[in-house]
Amino acid sequence: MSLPSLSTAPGTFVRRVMGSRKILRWLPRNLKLGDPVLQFFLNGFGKTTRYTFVNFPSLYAPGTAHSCIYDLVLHDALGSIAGRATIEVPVAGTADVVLSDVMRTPLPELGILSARIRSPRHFDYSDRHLGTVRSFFYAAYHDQAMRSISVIHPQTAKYSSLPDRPTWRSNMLLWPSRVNSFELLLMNPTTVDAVTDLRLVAGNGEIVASSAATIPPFGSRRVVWESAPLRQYPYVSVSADMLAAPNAKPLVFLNFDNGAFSAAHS
Amino acid sequence: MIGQFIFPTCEVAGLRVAAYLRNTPRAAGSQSGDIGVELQVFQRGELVAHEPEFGTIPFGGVLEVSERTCAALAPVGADRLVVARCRTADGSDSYFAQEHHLSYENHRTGVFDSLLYDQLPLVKPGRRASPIILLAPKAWISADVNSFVAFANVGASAAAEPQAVPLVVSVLSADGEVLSTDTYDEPQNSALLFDVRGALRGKLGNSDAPQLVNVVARGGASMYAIMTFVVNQVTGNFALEHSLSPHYYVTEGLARVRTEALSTLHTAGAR
Repeated sequence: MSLPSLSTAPGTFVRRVMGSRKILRWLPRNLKLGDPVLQFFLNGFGKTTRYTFVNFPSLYAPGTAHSCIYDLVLHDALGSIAGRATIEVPVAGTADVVLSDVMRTPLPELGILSARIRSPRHFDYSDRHLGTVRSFFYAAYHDQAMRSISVIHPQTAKYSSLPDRPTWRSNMLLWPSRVNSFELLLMNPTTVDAVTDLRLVAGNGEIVASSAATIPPFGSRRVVWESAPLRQYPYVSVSADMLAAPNAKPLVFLNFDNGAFSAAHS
Repeated sequence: MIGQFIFPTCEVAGLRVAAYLRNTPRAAGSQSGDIGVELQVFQRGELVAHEPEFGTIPFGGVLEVSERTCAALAPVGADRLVVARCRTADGSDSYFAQEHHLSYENHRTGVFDSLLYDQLPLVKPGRRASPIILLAPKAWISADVNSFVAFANVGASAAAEPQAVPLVVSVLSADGEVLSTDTYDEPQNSALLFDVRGALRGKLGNSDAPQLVNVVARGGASMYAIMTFVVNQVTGNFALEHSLSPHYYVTEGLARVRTEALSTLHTAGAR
């Protein structure tokens, strides 16, 4: 019989073995962990991805600083696990991670990366005053030699329960006359299939383009709209009939005529 | 109800700014009336332009703030701070959240990048804002690439006053080593563009391969909007992203974080 690992949450071990939550109050434990945080992974379409993971507990609480661990899980576009890696980040340090350097499996063209920070120490509660720590990180999408680059923070965590699925319309204006195409990435951060109709909406509310699809759990999809047919509209905005989760908003790439791109969370 | 959207012009980074102020449905305190906009432009704390009735944002509409609509945003060879105060018709001084669209463009190439973020509350007179704690682990430098961190701050009044606490900005290597530390006594109502390559004074950034550094900062006593630009200075293409304040990373102990965060870095000193 193998026992549950103590490395991430000693409480899990105790809960399983002793079936009691009360005892957890009396046990020392380290960082209280929020849900894993998600961001898109691109490894094609003229773009590649790198991520930065900072040891923020050591910068926020330098008196008790120690290294930290990020557990990384890459899901492909269908939500299947495509790779795993563990990154150790030194005190006050930041890891600049290219997944092909740390995952020894073929990487998909599109997916989502899940990251969760933890302490390497099993029994250390010196950081507990930080409350629940959330594993925010940054993603940089770039082409060769960073001739174009975009830096984006994650917008959503993994959901273990079923969240609300709001109707949504972005406040960002997209100008068809200024770009070659709009490239949208959408994810499902939940454990059940999500059907979402992604739309471009003109200023008067008219739906000028739409694309509906089912995204499997922890899956993702990519939609490209050429701008030429949309140039009669001064601007359009992205909307969705039902996002998979409240903040699972699309990441929007603007592809320019000269081959450059930029991106923003919408 | 009222809020203020603040942003730097970032002209020194070779960019032109445009803000698209929005008036859209909001979950809390939702209303469908117009929003009136008062515009102030500052340069190093000095008010250089003031339009009390700059414009109106109709419900569902857009109001553009750029050099096309505001002469004070034309290039002047210096970075400026723009403060757009957005007020609903009810006359209340309570804050309301509204997201706006900020965009910067390289006029040489036509390439632009955008950002959405919420307007801020007004600073209450007599109340000192908490010092900021910034982590910006998203600055790359190489022979072609440089990064800039823009610190835009707004005070309680339009008067040119110093901040009570200086802003201390350090650059850390990926290993956590302090590569540089600089102190800035910026006045309230100003925009500081921190040049990462300049701060490192040749210590990094001379190779073709981009190297990551973490720009960290603490101090200041004002209300800040902070964003990072990563610029390929050969192609002119760039990335833009706002900062994540400590409450994104942790849920408790923020007062202690403000006291302790980054403290040992600065006492260790930079070379």
